Amino acid sequence: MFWLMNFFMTNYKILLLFFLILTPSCADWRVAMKAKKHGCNVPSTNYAFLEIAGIEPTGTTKDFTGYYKYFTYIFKKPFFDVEDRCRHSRIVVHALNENNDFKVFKWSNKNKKTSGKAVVTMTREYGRKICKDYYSFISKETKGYVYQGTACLGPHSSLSQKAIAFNDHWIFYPYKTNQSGGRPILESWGTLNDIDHPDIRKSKYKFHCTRTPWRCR
Amino acid sequence: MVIPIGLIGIMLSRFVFFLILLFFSHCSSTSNHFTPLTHRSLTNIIEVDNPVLATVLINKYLLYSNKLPEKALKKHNAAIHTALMDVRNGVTFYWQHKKTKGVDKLFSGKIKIVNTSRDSRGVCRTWLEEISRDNRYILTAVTTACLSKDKKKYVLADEFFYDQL
Repeated sequence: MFWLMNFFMTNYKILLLFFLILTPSCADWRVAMKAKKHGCNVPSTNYAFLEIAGIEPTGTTKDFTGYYKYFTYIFKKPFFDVEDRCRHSRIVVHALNENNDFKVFKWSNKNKKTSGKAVVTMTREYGRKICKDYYSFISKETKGYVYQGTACLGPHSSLSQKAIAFNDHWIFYPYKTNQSGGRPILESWGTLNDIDHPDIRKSKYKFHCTRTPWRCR
Repeated sequence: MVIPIGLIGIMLSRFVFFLILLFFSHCSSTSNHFTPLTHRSLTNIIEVDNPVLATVLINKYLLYSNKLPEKALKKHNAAIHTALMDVRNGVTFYWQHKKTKGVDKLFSGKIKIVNTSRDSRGVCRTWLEEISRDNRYILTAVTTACLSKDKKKYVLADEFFYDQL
């Protein structure tokens, strides 16, 4: 026991170096990078990686949150390996390409006890693009995660929200409850100003302004 | 200026009470909410480049104090229930609630069923909902609920619903 302590005290720098080299090599970052290289980077399996990769230093105290997220992430054990990530990415893209809402697309790997499924919950057509909201479920043994997102086909405007990922012509955005996910919308003070497309909310949501003017203020 | 020790004690106890309140507010039951929209707070938080503890606490207070009050939440739930029970599409249900305790706040909401469908999920109804405070902070959402298999109640079409498909 004593010799072990002595060895650690004298060679702690070498041990620390080994620890720093070995830990990220088996962490989620490496697997996610490999999956990205293979074109398997839909946000449902790589959300944490895409969030970390998108962090930009601001030079303010907000950076501490980013550092915290980064250091907790690089020591994280990967939930899926590259093979499963690619399987799930294919299923999500397949569900998006099929013109069949609410149909469940599944995959499972009995050897690794992993599975996943994707279901499109809403398709929205606009003048120049089509957007789909979807749910993605992934599970491993008894643990499971769910992700809700939006994917669009069509031009990506500078006014749209920041895209999370690109895969097989689909552009992935964060889900928004008011259907603004993926649309070129400038949202400020609760007003929606859509430049390219008519506002669904306003076109379907007309009130009797003459009879009940207080509803239209 | 000399602050009496007793006053510091009172200030500290109020601060601790506020922190405990914030802690327990996160543990409250969520079963009263019919839709995720009513969980959200009707305010804009303070955005600064270098947030300090005071900024975080003020933002927490702003979010907590501008949540939908219990009575307004009940009115919103009742409007959703009434809209779902009405067979017609396109009818607008409107409610209003004035909060006079503390700073006067006027909460209002609108519900309108825009689509009724019958597909692989069963009978489903989609509605537009909007809640606002003082006609200034407006939250909008599109929500769907489907009739349960025993056809006795509507179930929100969320991740749990689609997980059962």
